[in-house]
Amino acid sequence: MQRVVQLVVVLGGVSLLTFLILNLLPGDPGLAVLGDNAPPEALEAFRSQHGLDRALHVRYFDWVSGAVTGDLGTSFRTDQPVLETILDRVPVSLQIVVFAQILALLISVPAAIACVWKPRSWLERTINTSAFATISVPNFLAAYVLILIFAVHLGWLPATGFSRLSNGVVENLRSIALPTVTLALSQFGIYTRVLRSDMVDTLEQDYVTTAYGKGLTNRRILVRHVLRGSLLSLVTVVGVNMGVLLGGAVITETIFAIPGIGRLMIEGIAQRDLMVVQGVVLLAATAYVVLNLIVDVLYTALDPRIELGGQRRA
Amino acid sequence: MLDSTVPSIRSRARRLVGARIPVVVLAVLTAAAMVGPLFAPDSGSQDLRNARAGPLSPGHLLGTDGYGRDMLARTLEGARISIFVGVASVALCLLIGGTLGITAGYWKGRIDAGIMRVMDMVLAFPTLILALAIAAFLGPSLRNVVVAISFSTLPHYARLARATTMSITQRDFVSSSALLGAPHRHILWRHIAPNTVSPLLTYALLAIGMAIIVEASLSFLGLGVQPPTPSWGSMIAEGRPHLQGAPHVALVPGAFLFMVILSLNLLADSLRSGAPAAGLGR
Repeated sequence: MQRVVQLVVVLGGVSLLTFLILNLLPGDPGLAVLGDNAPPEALEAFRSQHGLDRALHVRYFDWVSGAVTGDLGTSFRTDQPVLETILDRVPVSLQIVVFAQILALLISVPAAIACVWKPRSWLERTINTSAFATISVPNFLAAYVLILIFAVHLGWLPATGFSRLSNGVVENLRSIALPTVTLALSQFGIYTRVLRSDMVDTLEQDYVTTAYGKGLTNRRILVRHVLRGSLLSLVTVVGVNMGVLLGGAVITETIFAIPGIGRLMIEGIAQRDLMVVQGVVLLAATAYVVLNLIVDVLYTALDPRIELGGQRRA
Repeated sequence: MLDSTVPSIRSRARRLVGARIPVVVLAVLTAAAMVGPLFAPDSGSQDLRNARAGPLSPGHLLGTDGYGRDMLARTLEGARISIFVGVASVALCLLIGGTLGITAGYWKGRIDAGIMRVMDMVLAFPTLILALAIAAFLGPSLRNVVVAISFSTLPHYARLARATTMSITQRDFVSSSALLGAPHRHILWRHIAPNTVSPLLTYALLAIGMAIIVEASLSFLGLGVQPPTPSWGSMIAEGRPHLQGAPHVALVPGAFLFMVILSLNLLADSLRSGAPAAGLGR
């Protein structure tokens, strides 16, 4: 309950900061939308239509109370409700982000186990090096290299564009393959390193020694005991990353022309569509904060020694 | 190396790779970025007849871009932008974030609560999204990029400085200094501030890499330094249509970006694991 109150307070702050950043700064949105040569009467009409002629605090409370009831205002350009526009894009981003996380975890978890299972082997060194390298590869570079290999040279996959699920599953999967791999690649290194270092720590715990003493097999110990006891940091990092990416994998969506949330924000910025940008930023921050809360709650489920709002019990 | 555990030759070799090579790479690149423009061809001069020339072509070591401009000259000029943004934004953050964190951690109570709640608010935004929003509405320019990056990464520094300050304040030498009647100003300057430097600087190494990536992302999206001034991000974006046929236009700045980030990560990693980096950490 305390967490929920905290969440509301943070979200209140987030909405205020979003609003202030985007509204206090110079530049008349009417001028930006209608063009520099717009007649004063048209500007006046635009301002009153979108309520821009009201005082700042009135506009803020209007926007926030609307946001609570699911009304984020209407776009300056299309006059469509902002929430509708955003909800139209969410599934696209969500699909890529979730697929990328699953793919990254499918590779990272076995890779981390392999590192602990065979320390100081060529396998461990290969995994370590590639994990370190992928962390340092900027998204654009990974995306370009993938496009070069799979779209330009091999011609197996489309370089850009998105095909909705309604156009067929295969086409949809082909269109999201490269962006998904791009995102997964940047996560793989982080997840592998986090999990591996936690597993190394867990190996020294008494209960693992006990498990060995009981004569359990190596594999069983690694998976049942060590892996399970080492998931906390991984859950945190995955949760935080999900939060970041749900707000839009801006770069990846731009390179692959994927019409997701990140793309929407860039389009909004390019068209100076204040309401859309405001809505996307608010949504991105909300997703981020809520996912962080979920991670906190998951903690207690994974490690019963941790209590919410308290310290780890000895 | 007079430790009781004498490191094996192998682990020593690894340490060299871990610390010295990235230092050399970064130093060479920084030097090249500073003096390069004196030697390399003019980065702005277009030559459309010689556009998209591959690397190692006569007169153009790294080839030319879509307008026939020399890639090496442009990449080095981009390096200057990256280094400037990385160092400037991190320095700004160290100064402001460090001050805020030390203030919060030392005075505690309401001041602490006030500062940290504002920091939590900023922290509630994904970094790139916040930087984008700020850069978009400040307008694209080098100065605004630095402001956008600094503002959106400030809480990390404040948190680190606050945590360090709180643990130092409890140490004996601080409480004895206070008992001897030293004024707050003396304790803050002489005892607290110097001890927050080391953890903050270690973090700063990683943060420079992050700042460089955010700068590249902003200019990739057209919200950073404006053309014709080359920045790695905008060069990578300009190379997109040439991926087929002249991939070097995008891959050269991309490779430089990768090299810098990798070097910074290696350096930060070797500092964190306690291994003394060559020429650093003393």
